[in-house]
Parts: sequence; structure tokens; C-alpha cells
Amino acid sequence: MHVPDGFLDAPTSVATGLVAAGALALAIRGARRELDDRTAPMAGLVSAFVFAGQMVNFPVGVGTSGHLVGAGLAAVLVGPWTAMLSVSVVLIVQALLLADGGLTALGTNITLLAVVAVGVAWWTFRVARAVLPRRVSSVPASAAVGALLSVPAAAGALSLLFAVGGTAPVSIGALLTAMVSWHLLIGLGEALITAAVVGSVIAVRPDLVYGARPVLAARRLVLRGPGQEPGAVA
Amino acid sequence: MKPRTLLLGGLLVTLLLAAAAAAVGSTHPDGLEYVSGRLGLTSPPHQHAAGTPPHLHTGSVLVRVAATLLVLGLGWGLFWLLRGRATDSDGEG
Repeated sequence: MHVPDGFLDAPTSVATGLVAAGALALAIRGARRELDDRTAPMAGLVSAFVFAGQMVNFPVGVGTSGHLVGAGLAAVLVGPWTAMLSVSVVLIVQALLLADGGLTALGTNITLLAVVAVGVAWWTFRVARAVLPRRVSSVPASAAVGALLSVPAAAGALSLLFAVGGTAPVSIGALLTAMVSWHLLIGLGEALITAAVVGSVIAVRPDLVYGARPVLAARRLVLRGPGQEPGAVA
Repeated sequence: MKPRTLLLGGLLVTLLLAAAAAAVGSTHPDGLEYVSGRLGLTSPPHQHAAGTPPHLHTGSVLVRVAATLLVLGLGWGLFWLLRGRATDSDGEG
């Protein structure tokens, strides 16, 4: 879902550019609190994985495809502020080097995929994590819920932007319905990929998953000696 | 598993994904392109990086892998510069 040049009018593109610039300034401040010596390389790798993942389109329905957005994946793995920067780096390189997403629409794409999608993914993830049992295994499931909803949320936001500054006469109701319904299907693929990747990282290094930190911190340390039943809690 | 092993494994998967993108990816339009086409929002359909942008036809595997490494370098550098004094016990803010 990369918005091309000319999809939205100039004032709307400028406005979304300003929103994106403001959000990135906030993200730079927020990411300082999320990143350390161990997670900074991980965040770089997440950017590269999202970039590669966005190049692979998976089939959705008849004659349509979708691709990873990576907002939920990045938010859960490295934190929401870092995820905003991570997805933005991907979008900037795509626009500048691969002509994937318009240059004049770069602010729009950052607003939709790095701000709206990451924000929805992160807060939905937090709600799901709070509702599901407080176990590490709940983190991939919660991440899937966040990823699932992040894609139609961004599609819905684009439809609303089109209502304000669209360059073609079209029923906004029809656009909103088509965009959200198709991207809900794409969101299913997004959710599966996100759960698989987050689950894989959690299986080997749960401490490197930002979204798992509260669960790990709350996990009780069970001390078990040889031949003893678990139960001693430190 | 050591973090370095995880990073190297992740990098390998990422580069394989980038290299194989065109071969394994669907060539159908994505959601926005499909809806745009159906509703007549844009004339020339937007092409995805894994699809058919002209400059990606030649040496596309190399271009995709190089671009992925560029993103890795940019991201790693940016996040290394931004890294603070956060620790595992830090909250989510």
C-alpha cells in the first residue's frame, strides 16, 4: 500500500508531510529510550527484514495480492518509536531508489504506514497482551492481533485522506468499504507473518523482544532442585 | 542463542527473502492498486518493487540485495547513533 504521486492533491500531501516530520521528530526522542547497545543492531535488522518482506507480494483472493507492512512486527520487536523510524527508513529508500511510492507522497506514506499503522499495531498489541494470559507465548498472538488491525487502519486512514484531498471523483463510502475490506484480508497475511517472526525470536531470545519485556519482568523465577517439584518462588 | 548468532541468522533469511522476492512473490496488483483500478482512481497502475519497475529488470537480484543491505546499514547506523542508556528493565513509556 504505497501511495503514488498524484493520488492526493498538493495541500493534503504537504499536510501529511508536516504530520510525518513532526511524528519523526517525536520518534527520534522516543527511540532513545528504547534503544541500547544490544537492541540497536536488532532494529537495523528489523528495518532490512521489513524492506525485504515488502518486496514479496502474497496472493489475496482473485487477482489481488498484498505484502508485509511490518508495522506490528517492528513495533513489537523493537518498540513503537523505533518502529516508526524503522518503517520510515524503508519507505524513504523505496521512494528514492526503487520508485516504490511517490516522492511527493512520501509524507503520506510515512503518515499512513509508519505513524498510523505502527500506532494502531502497538496499542492493539498492548490491549491484546493485557487481555490474554500473562505468558510469553501470548506475545506472538497479541502481535498478530496488532498486525491484523494495523493494515485496514492504514487503508481506512488513506480513504479518509482521499475524502479530503483526492484527485478523482469517487464515492468515499465505496472507497472506504473496498479499501478496508481488501486490506483486512491482507492483514490476515500480515498477522501470520508477524506471529511467525515474533514467535521465532521469542523462542530463542525473548529478552530481545521489546513487547515481551513486561511479561518477562512479571514472570516469577521458579527454583527447582534435583528431584524437586516446582513451587519454590523467589 | 547469542545475539550475534540471531543477527546473522536473521540477516541470512532477510537476504534470501530479498533475492527470491521476484521469484516467489505474486505478480497480481496489491490492495491499493486493485481498488484504485476498480474505482478508476489512478490511470497508470503503481508498480511494486517486486514487480516490474523497468530499472529493476536487469540485475534485479543484485539490486534488491544491495538495497536491502543499504537499509540495514542506514537503520543500524541511525539506531546506533540514537541508542541511549535503556536497559532490559526499562518500561514501555
